[in-house]
Amino acid sequence: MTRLYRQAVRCLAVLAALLLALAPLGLAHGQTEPVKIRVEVNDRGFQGTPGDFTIEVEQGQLVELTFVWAHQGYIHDEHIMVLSGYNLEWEKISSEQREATLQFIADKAGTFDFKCDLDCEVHDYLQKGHLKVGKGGGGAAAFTPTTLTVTPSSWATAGDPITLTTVLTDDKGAPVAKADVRFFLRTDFAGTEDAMEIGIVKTDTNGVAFLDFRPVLSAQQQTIIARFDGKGIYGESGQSIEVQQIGVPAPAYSMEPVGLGPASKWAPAVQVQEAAAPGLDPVRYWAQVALAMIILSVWATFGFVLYQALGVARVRARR
Amino acid sequence: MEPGAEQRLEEVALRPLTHTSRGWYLWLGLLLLLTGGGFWAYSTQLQRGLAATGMRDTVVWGLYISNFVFFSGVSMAGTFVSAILRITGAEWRRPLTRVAELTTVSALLMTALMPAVDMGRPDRLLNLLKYGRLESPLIWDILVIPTYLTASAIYLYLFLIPDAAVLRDRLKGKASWLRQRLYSMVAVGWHGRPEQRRRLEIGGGVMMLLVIPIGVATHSVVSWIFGMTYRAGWNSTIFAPYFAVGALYSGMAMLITIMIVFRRVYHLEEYFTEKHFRYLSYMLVAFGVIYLYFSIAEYLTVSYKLEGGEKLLLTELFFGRYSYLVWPGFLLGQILPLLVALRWARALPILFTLTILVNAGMWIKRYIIVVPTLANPLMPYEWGVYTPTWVELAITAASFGGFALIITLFAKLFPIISVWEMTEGAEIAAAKEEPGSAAARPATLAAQSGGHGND
Repeated sequence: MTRLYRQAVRCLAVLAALLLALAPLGLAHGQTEPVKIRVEVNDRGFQGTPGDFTIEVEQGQLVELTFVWAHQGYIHDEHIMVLSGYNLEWEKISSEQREATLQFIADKAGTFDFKCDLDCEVHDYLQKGHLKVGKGGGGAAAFTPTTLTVTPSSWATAGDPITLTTVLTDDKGAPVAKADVRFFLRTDFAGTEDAMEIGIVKTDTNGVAFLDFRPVLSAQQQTIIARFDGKGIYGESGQSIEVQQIGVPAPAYSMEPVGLGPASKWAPAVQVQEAAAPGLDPVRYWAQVALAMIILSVWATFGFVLYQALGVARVRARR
Repeated sequence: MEPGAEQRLEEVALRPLTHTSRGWYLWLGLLLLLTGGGFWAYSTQLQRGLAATGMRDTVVWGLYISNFVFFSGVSMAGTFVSAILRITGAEWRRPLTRVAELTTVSALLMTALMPAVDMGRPDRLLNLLKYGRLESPLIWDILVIPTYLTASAIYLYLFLIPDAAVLRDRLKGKASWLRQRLYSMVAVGWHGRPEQRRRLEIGGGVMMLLVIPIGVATHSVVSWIFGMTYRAGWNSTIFAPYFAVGALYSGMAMLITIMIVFRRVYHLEEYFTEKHFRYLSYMLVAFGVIYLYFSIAEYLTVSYKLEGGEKLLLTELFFGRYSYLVWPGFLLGQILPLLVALRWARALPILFTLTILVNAGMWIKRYIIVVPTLANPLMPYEWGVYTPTWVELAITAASFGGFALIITLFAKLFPIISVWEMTEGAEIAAAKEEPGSAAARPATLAAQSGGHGND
């Protein structure tokens, strides 16, 4: 009996050790249970509090924050909640869609403000929500890894525009929607080498976003960096793209007049009498000529005056 | 000129060039600190972009453009006044022309710098020339400011040539080799020969006539950047003369301020006399009254019609969030300085304070023209918000530091009063007293370095 008891204790100890060792793996990838918080939004503010309203979590915890539409009076009021610091934006809540939920990992300690971002009836009451994230809490949730794929990853161009297709997925290949992907061009300017932001796109429900890019710098080799900074439960990811200049970049924009152009170009079926002679309006033309003549005359006079001043030196030389 | 007066004039004018006090070094250190701080702030702006400033999508112009308008105004009085006084033959102009012209050039350099700083990326300045359209007032600005700067620099240079020859001859062996080379180059072999005088008179005469319309055009164009825009606060037909008069008012005050400082520091009491400050004060009052008239005309007509967003803007200006700037700017910068018409207010400490107030008021006026109009909502949404950041404040301080630094360094290299013009004036006066004497034929420009040059 004693031996059997000892074997049972050993087995339990091994099991316990195994559980302890594997625990972090279990917490990773959002497998841990989130701390669920529900906040009612009603006629008096968050949970009926018109002033400051604070919710508290511990650093590292996986948080599931749900805003619940609970108006009694303002039945047409709608809200979109945003949380600063974590850059999170909830879906719109209204009498028709009463709840909006987002999960995120509270990795940053401190106090962050959440508020309604719409011009609603109780706007003033919904500006003082606070999320307090305590330092060194027991939370150990880990971000879900993501993969950012941009195609094409390299191309050669003579300044022609190209569409960069971005796909953001998690570690299981599922699309990550409503994520901001930022594009930077690595550049050297006035002795400062850094990444210059050239665009930002948001992924759709398929995790896909597009950026139209037209290289206008004259460097032969350029590197574009696409970056997802992480958001909610998703970790950051990025990719770099190489651009090879093979010719002189075209001008960034056309100096041609902007407009729909002759109707024949967009409505060939309709017969339209074209304007007689394209060109500058005569008043504008002569005004430009006059302005150019005035400027040239002034600068020519400067030249004449400087010629006189140089003449001073020539008098000395002749002596 | 009284016996010994010419020698005393040279001694007084050239002494600051050869003697340097500890105070001068301290002053230079302060100015270098200010400009250095500005460079540091600008490097921050280059790295972080215009996000380092308080300018955003609604209020797209802030301190930089306010400074731009302010310095362009300060630049007006110098060359303009100098040219008008020369053309009209006002004899009392002689000691102050150099300070006036220098003030213009220094202020114009800061004027030209500000739009480049405001653009964020200075390399895009070229785009204005490459892709700009002549219909745009911004392009007119790009064309007219370098033109005015060039005209003012040539104007300053032409009348510096005879004095540079004096320096070349008097400081031979006393100044460093580099300085002697500089004076020799600037003097371009001047020995006061009749042909040299003739050429200088032709060049100077042409520039005198040319610089006045260019100055007026510059300030008109600066005003049209705003006046050509259909926005509450800017939509005005009188902006061009309004700005030109404001520029004369502001520039005249700056000229008086600088003259008082030089009078005190360089001991120029004999040359910057009570008469000069009295005449300049009269001009300041005249410009101030005209400017006041324009201000009343502008605000009265606009507030009577209350078109578009004017009501909202005027309410904010006079009773709202900008009233703490508008009223002190108006009372201290436009009303109080008119006291210089009274004799007691022309005592130099009071005059100095009042001219400083004029420029403080005019700077506020420029800020009020630029920022509240942009913050005024075009659509019924919230007002734009603008709060200058430390980067903008540091660059603003550096622009004022740079303005003073250019004047300080110039005054260390060249006499701040025009020695040859003073001598010429004395000879003309002597000729009037003794008609038929040798002095009746003013050799003026020749008097300074008659043939003993070293080159």
